[in-house]
Formats: sequence, C-alpha cells, structure tokens
Amino acid sequence: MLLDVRNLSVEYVTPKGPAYAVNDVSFSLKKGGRLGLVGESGSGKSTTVLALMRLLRGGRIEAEAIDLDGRELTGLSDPAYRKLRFADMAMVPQGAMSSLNPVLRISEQMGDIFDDHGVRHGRSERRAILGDLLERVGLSANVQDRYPHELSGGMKQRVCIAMAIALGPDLILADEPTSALDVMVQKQVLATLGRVQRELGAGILLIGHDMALMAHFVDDLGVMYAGRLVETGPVRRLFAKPRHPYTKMLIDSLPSFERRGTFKGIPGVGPSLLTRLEGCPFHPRCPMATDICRTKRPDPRPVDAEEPRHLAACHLAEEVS
Amino acid sequence: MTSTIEARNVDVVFSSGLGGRIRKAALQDLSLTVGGESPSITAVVGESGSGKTTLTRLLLGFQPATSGEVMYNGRAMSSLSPNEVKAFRRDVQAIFQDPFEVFNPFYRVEHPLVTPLRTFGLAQSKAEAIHLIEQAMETVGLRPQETIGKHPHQLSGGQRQRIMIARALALRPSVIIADEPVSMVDASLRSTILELLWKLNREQGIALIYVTHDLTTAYQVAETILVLYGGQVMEIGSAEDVIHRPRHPYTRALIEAVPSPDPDIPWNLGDGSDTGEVSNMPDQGCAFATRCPHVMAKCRAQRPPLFDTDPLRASACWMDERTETTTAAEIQRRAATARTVAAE
Repeated sequence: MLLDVRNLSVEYVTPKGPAYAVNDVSFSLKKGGRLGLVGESGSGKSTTVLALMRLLRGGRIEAEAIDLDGRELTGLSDPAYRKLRFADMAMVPQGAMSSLNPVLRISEQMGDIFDDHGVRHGRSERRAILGDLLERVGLSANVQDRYPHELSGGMKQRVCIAMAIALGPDLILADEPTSALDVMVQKQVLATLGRVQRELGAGILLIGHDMALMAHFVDDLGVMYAGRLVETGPVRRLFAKPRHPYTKMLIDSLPSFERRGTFKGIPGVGPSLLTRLEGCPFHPRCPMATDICRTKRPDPRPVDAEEPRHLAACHLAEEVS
Repeated sequence: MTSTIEARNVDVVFSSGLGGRIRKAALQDLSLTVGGESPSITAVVGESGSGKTTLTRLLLGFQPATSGEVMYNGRAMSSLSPNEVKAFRRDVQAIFQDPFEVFNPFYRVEHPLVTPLRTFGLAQSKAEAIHLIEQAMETVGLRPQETIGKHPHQLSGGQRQRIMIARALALRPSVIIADEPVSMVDASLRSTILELLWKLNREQGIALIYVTHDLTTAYQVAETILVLYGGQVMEIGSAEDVIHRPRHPYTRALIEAVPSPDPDIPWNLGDGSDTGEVSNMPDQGCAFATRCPHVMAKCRAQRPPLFDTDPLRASACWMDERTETTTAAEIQRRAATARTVAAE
C-alpha cells in the first residue's frame, strides 16, 4: 500500500463550538493507483487532503494512522513534514489562479521547490530541468520566463502540475484541479495530470464533485457526506451497484444526453457540522430511513459478495436498488 | 408573432487603448428572440470569453448595442420612456450565478423581495408583500416560516438561489434570464433547481434564457440550444439536433469534452497534448478557426454566416455552406411554430 489512512478526524474550533469537518475516515491507495473522493461542499473532502498535507489552518487533526509507503506520519515533526512535501507527496491546489505568486516569474517559484529541498543546480542545468518539467505538462520551456498574469487559467494549472511532479513524489494530492476551467481545457488538463502521474508511477488522490469526470479517471471512488466516507470501492462497482442511498441518488441525479425534462434531485439539505447527529448522517434526507437509521450510526462494512473492497456505511445497504 | 425581447443583428464592440483604437467584438451579428406567444427555454452555451455574459447584459438592458437593435414588445429599447423602462424591469427578471454575492448580509433574506414588490406597486402594504413572498417561496419549495426573518448566512447556497428564483417569480415576469444559475450549487441540488426553472416555463408560461457552460444541463431543460464562441453563434437548433446530430466542429468538440455518467461508455481523454485555448481570438474570419481541426483558408478570411442546414437548425461553418442563410431568431420562430403544431 502507498497510503493507508485509518480513522482520520478533523475538528475546527468555532465560536459556536467544535465543527466536525471529518469523522473517522479510513481509506487506502495502492502504488500507482487512482483514488477519487467526491462530495458536496462541506462534506470534508478538501479538509481531508489538507489534513494529509498538514496544511490546515486551525483544524485539529486526529488519526489512528496515516501510513505513507511504510512511514507513519502522525507523529512526524513539522520540519520533517516540510521535507516530505513535494518530495514524497505533492499537492495540485484547487485554484491555480490564486496559488501562484503574482510577482515572481514561473522559474523562481518552481526553483524554490528545489532550493527548499537542498537540491542545487547550475544556472543552465536548472533552466534545462525546469524547461523539461514544463514540456512534460504540455507547455513550452520558455514559459518559465513569464509571470503568472501572462498565462491562461489552463496554463497556470499546468504549471501547478509541473511543480507537483518536480521532485518525483510517490503521491499526488489533487484538490479539484480542473473545476475552475472551461470544459475543453478541463479535459486537456485532466488528461495531462493522468499522463504525468502514470509516467511517474505515482499514486493520485483526486478530490472532486463531478461524478461523471471521476467515473472515467479513477480506479477507486469514495463518496463523502457530512464528513464521513459513506461508500468506497472500485468505481465501476460503485456505479453499477451503489450500496448507499446517497451514492445511488447522486448517480441518478446526473444529467446526461439520454434524458430531457426529467429531474432527480436529492431533497433536503446537508446537516450542520456543528452538531453530531444521532444515527446515520443521511437519515433526514434518506427515502429509506427506518428507526435504526435514526438511532444507530452505521459503520462502513463489506456489502458486495463479489467485491470485498466495496464498503458502505448503511444499515439497509442490501436493500438499495 | 411578436416576442417580448428581440435582438436584431446586434454587434457589441468594446474599445480600449488610446482613442479606443483597440476594438474587441464581444458579440457579432446576433439575432435572438425571447418570449412571445410560445414561451420556451433557450439555452445559450459557451465557455469563458464566448460573449455569454455580454449577451445576458444586453438582454437585460444593461449593455447597449454598438450596432443593431434590441426590441422590447416591438419597441426599440433605446427609445423607451422611464415608465416603460420600469415596466421592463419588472417584466424581465434575472437570476445570477452566485447566490452568496447577491445578498446584503445586513438585511434579512426577504428584503430583496419586499423592496421590488413595493417599488413596482405589486403590493400595497408590507403584509400584502409578505403574503406574495410566502406564495412564491412555496412555489420554489421553501418553507416560508423557516425562511422569512433569517439572515443570508443562515441559509445554504441552494436555499439562497431558490430565494432569488422566488424573487424573480414574485414579480410575475414574462421572461427570466438565468446566468449560470446552478454552477455554484451542489450536485444534489442542481437537478432540483433546474426542475424548478423548467416548471416555471411549463406551468407559468415564463420564457427562459438559460446561460451555461454545461451542455448536459442545457440538453436537460432547453428546447433550443445556441452555441456561442468568441462572440459568434456557431450553431443553433433543437436540443436533439445540436446534441445528437451536431454539425459544427466546435459543438462536436464540446460534446466530446463531456464525460458520460456511465463509466462503461468510453471517454477518450487523450494525453493532454492538445493545449489550444481561447487566448488568441482571430480578428476576422471564424472565431473557432485557430482551434478547428478542419480549418480551411476561407475560414481565416471570412466569417461564415449561419447556413440554413436543417428545418430546425443552422450552422455557421463553411463545411455546411448552402445558398440559404438564416438567423438564430428565425430558427427559434420555426421551433415555436413546430411546438404549436405538435401541441394541436
């Protein structure tokens, strides 16, 4: 296993009391694999990634284990974590537009990654290395001489991908890397991300809200709701036989070129993170909910006789159809 | 057949630089109708820089046409009297993308509903206004007693967007221009909001312009889809024609960029080597020429008009060249006639 996360929880302190952003989330990712996490805003998917990168502002992280390629990260000191970022795991942020420094040339910000990790190069050698990285993500080598404002959104996102692969990490964490881009650019950038990840042999954890996009990119998918992972498994299994009512309703709600004038929304709104709801977090919106759903919280359990890795946190998983 | 709003051969050109020497056409030769006797839903699909925001502003009367004319109930918008402008402001409503930005955080959420009801004289007293608001809120699936009196931060994005729809609805408009109304709403609610817009058209006869970057939701709600790129109409036609039998290379590229929600239907992701982007828009010829896989010399020299290719569709591509040309408005009229015939 490349990444093994067990019972990760994140709490934020707010004036109204603790907000439970992520609760007992467990998942794993094999070497070179692709795992997707989908969920609505507030479902905890971005918080999960930021907690793994230890880049959360103000949140309190608790985890039984975060194992990266045989190394336990929970007890790691902050300086050690700093060395780990980019070298072992790197992040492609959500808004490439706002994550580049506007007053530095691309070469300077990319160069910082090497400098910070004590990698020294001669001037022309550095230029060649940066040029090569940029070409790998489909940009021309001289993009390194430009400032961020001279680049389009898609180009900036490609620069962020080049930065993420600069030190050849084993794990890439990508937080909605294409959601701010136009449809056609989105496809190109996602294709680029997929290609460099494969060339590198790195694993990728992709965060998103677009189920259809995920369906075609990842091997495994996790569905988050109210800070909990409600269903995980091989993506085709999940789409073919969803075992959590929320997953099923999300898939059914997707628009397609097959249907016009039919709408299958999910009624109701997500729960507040400030209260720990008794029972299943989805029960107020679930059409199948019974008494047990209101009182006892379901834990993720195997729900598929043919696929032991397919887990769902639902008392009635076998009845979902 | 008169329509509520009609754009006739409109160009919108923005100039900048010294003495306005840098000129950028945001919309070129656009003709479009909204409303009238057969109110329908027309989707305007485009990426950023396509001119869809300019089109929204034009139809709402916030953006004057550089040439051509926008008509409201058969009269030129530029010649309306202040009273007629006020009537227009009530009759044509807008729903915007961001349900977080449109509220003033200091006021309760019903404030932006009460004010226009009073301004337009639809309610004589506050009590009457509240009654109308309650009705509108129920229509959009909100519980008035749990909504009225709250401040914006106490409601979710989906709830706020529904309030904005309720506001538009309470003013009894004949046209609603919805600019990316669901792009910031969570997936689970998107379908619910679109259904609401669809019902407003079917049940209350409100004509809708649905501006979006998302072809799938356009197909879900609209009768007619207009594809905009670089300020030019690339293709317009019935949703079935445009999605299932696209003609224009740009429409085809857009459709290919949309993954199917079924993982078993292959989606050719490619390796990302095609890095073309909207950055370099040509000054003349077809706006898509710089990215088109079928580009010919003619495409760079001369902008193709909308060729009259099918009964309910037109394509602005030299590969579809015909002797007859048409306008988007004409295709919309034919679609309206076809609907009337089908209904009878």
